[in-house]
Amino acid sequence: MTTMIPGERPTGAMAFRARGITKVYGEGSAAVHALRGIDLEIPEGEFVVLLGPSGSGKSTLLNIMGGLDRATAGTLHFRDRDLTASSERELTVYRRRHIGFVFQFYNLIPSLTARENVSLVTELVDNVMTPEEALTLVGLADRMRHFPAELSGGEQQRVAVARAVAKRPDVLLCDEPTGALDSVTGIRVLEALASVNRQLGTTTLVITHNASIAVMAHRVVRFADGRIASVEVNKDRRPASEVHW
Amino acid sequence: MRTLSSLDMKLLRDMWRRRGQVLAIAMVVASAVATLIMALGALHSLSAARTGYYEDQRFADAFVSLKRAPANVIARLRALPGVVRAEVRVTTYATLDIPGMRDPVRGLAISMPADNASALNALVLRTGRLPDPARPDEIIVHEAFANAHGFSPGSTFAANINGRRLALTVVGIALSPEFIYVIAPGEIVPDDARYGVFWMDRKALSAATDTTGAFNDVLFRLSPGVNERETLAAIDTLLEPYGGTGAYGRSQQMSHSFLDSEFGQLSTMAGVIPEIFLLVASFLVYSVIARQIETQREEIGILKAFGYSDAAVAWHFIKMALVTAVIGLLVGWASGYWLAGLITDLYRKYFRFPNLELSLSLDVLALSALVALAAAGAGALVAVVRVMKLSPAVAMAPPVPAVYGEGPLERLGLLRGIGTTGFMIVRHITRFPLRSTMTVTGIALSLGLLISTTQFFDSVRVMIDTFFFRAQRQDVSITFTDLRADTVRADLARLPGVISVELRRGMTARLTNATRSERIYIQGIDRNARLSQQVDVDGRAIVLPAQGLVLSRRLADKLSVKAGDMLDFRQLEGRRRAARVPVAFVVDEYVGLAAYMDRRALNRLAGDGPVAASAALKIDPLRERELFHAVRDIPGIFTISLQRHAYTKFRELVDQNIMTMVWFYCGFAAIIAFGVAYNASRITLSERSHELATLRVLGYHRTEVARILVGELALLTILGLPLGVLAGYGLSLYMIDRFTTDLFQMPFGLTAATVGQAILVVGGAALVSCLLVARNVASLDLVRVLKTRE
Repeated sequence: MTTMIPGERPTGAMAFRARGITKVYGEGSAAVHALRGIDLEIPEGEFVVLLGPSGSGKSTLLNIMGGLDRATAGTLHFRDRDLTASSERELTVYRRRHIGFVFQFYNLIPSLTARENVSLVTELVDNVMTPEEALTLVGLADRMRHFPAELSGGEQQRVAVARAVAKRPDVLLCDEPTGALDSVTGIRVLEALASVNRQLGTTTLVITHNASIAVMAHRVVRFADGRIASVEVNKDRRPASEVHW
Repeated sequence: MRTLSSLDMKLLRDMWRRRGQVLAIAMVVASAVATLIMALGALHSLSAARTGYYEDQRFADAFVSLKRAPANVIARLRALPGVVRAEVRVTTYATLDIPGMRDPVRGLAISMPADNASALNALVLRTGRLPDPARPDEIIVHEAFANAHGFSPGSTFAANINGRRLALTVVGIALSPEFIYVIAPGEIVPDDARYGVFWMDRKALSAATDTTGAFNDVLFRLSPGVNERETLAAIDTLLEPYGGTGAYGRSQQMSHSFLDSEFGQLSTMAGVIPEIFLLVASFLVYSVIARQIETQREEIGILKAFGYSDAAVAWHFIKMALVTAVIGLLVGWASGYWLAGLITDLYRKYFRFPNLELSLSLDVLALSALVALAAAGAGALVAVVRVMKLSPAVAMAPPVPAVYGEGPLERLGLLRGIGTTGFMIVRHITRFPLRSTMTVTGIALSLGLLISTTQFFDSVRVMIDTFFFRAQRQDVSITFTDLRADTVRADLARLPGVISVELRRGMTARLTNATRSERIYIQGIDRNARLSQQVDVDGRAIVLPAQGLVLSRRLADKLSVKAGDMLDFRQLEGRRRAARVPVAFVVDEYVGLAAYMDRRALNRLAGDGPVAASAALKIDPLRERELFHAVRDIPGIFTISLQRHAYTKFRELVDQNIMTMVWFYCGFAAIIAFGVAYNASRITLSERSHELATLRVLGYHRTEVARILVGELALLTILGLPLGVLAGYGLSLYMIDRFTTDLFQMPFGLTAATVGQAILVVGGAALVSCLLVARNVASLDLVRVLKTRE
């Protein structure tokens, strides 16, 4: 149980509130401290870029925010829901209702067509786009009946974006979404993410090694050694097309 | 100790990681080895015991019974070409009065050989001593009979032989190679309490049977390699004037042929069942190794790049299969030895050997090792061919993603409505047709095996139903010492409790069609008989024609005749009439070799008036005792037996023997189904862990994800079940055919209930194994899976 401190009740404006999140893998001398006390607030509807070297803890935090992993200590609220106190089943429901994921390796189901990959998600929840709408949103209306093996990397990643946004999630979590892509297709995927953020108001968190992507963000969070090194609010956002590779 | 090479360490670690699968395959291999050891071990032990017993006790090669021949005929028998040795004796059936035994007991009295130490069919004395020739009352009883009544030297009982009452004293208990399996003539199961063999002084027996200075039974030793048929024919010609009932070789000797049919069943089991297991084991090894190679492509590429040869890398994977097979082999040897011991114990109850020890020959062990290793090796070999084909550079690159497409079923729109996860299941199955086929085949084989072994329950039910409730519906059977005129019917009808009486008459005859000839007991039954009907395989009562013979299918095939053909009939007793007789028709029934004729027609053929040799009675069960009491005092009645005793004994035999075997096979079939399903699910889980983890990330619950795993296996199982039913049907027919002997034919009676039960067992085993694997969905590492490329 986490205690609710009066006055700390999450406001409607905050999507995530993290307090003192730590994550330790392993025990004793083999223990690895992935997160060493993270305090962070992410306002609703923002496009947030997480930067930092490998092993700095950004993926770990993203996974905890997505309900894929649990913090060793600290509290994490999504709106007024305490994720750190949720059961495995509640976390599954949380992912199902609120979260869309996009990963570096797309993680499409090879035995399903683009349309069917999106259907996997739309079959689960109500008030969703049709797979056709979602694929149109990422510019793949004409590739719907193709299997992943028949699509280019960029197309596959856009199917993954369509799959993530089709259920109109409250949050989109993207871990290196352009990591495996060349600049042209990478920019196309970033444009798709930005347009979802803009049109649907989806809170979007993007992990990347590519610091130039930061120009798109409302907010840039820098990680170092399991801690947050800095949080900058971007006054002058640029469109994805101006990102340098 | 030499340290393991690094490749071998890798092998052991790989095997430990897949220990569930390794164990499942090892269990299937173990089942193959265990059934092989069990069947061949029991077969080897029985046959070695029989061979040794026959040699030690000089079991005769040929046998003949006759009415009566003077002693001077012996020299002529001995002079026949092919006859090395002929020993004459006196045998007769007797009714026995055993103290404390109210039911009728039959006995076979045999004269003691002059010198047991050198005689043919010499007795093995278990306790006591041989009879004193000066004491006509001293006898030796067969151990089975002695055990049933608790006889020991000093026990006494009385025998009625030809109306004479002889007081007998047991002085010894013995076994004989002639009576390893002791069964009364006309019975289908042994009943040691109601039928017994005993040996007594020849002079005393001759006096009682009116054969003083004569004999009525001969044992022969034939020269090795002699044409048995010709020698038997010569014996028959010589003994014809003395009422010879046809000489026969070992193959027609009751005890010997029962053992032969048992050997046949064991070798059928050894020949069919292990093969099924081995085939499945090959499949499993193939699929596991193939998957192993799939997941270790990069390592294989690195090994090759380091300079390991194709053969060395291939050998590495084959070794994994062989080590698995060796685990199975060891478990199979141990459990096979244990099972063979159980079977041998069962045999000890029915087959009376002086020494029946379970002996496993080295060649049985070697054979089982060979087939187990070969099956596993073959599966692995097919899988490693892929390793050979991989060039190091290609191997180190990640595999080309599996290419999927829409199958024909989808293009036809037949799969609408199965949902997106339904498509995942169907497309994965069709994407790997070989593996899917193997899983389906494995499930089908395990079901086929289970059906074809449990159908023996059905067979036995049909047999019991046919024999006891349709064919032999009398309560009591009576045999007469000699042929009796039909007026005996009225005499019997007057006895207490008798409701109806039917007369029968049988005779031993030789039926010949050109060069094919069979010595057979023809059963003469009244055409309108109600109590003793013959029933065909479809349960229809056979109505005997007024003229001509009705033959069982097996006999007709042996004689190569069909309805309408003529046969040479030669009576081997009585007036020894010869005639040409038409075959009226051929019936399919559950006895092996049999021939029937209307009693009146048979009597005419024999040149007799209306006579009978036995009778079937329907009685009031409440007056059973009274009837038995009355019958004892009636001369001319040789035996009286109760049908319900035969029924009880038959059920006992079935319950102990067949059921035991069937339970073994239920267990074995479940092992196959479990192994197949477990491996299939394991491989699917390993192959799809990325996809399943992705679904979990997308918000699918564990049970929803597990459903994909279970669904795929369920679909394969559902495909395998109808094939398994077909396989079971075919295997059942095959086994029934292989189990058929001249003595009897197993009926085919496969019921829906048996098929249903088998489906439940196989489906259940598949489901359980799949659920075990599905539990692993809970431990899918969502984070790691997302960070790695598949």
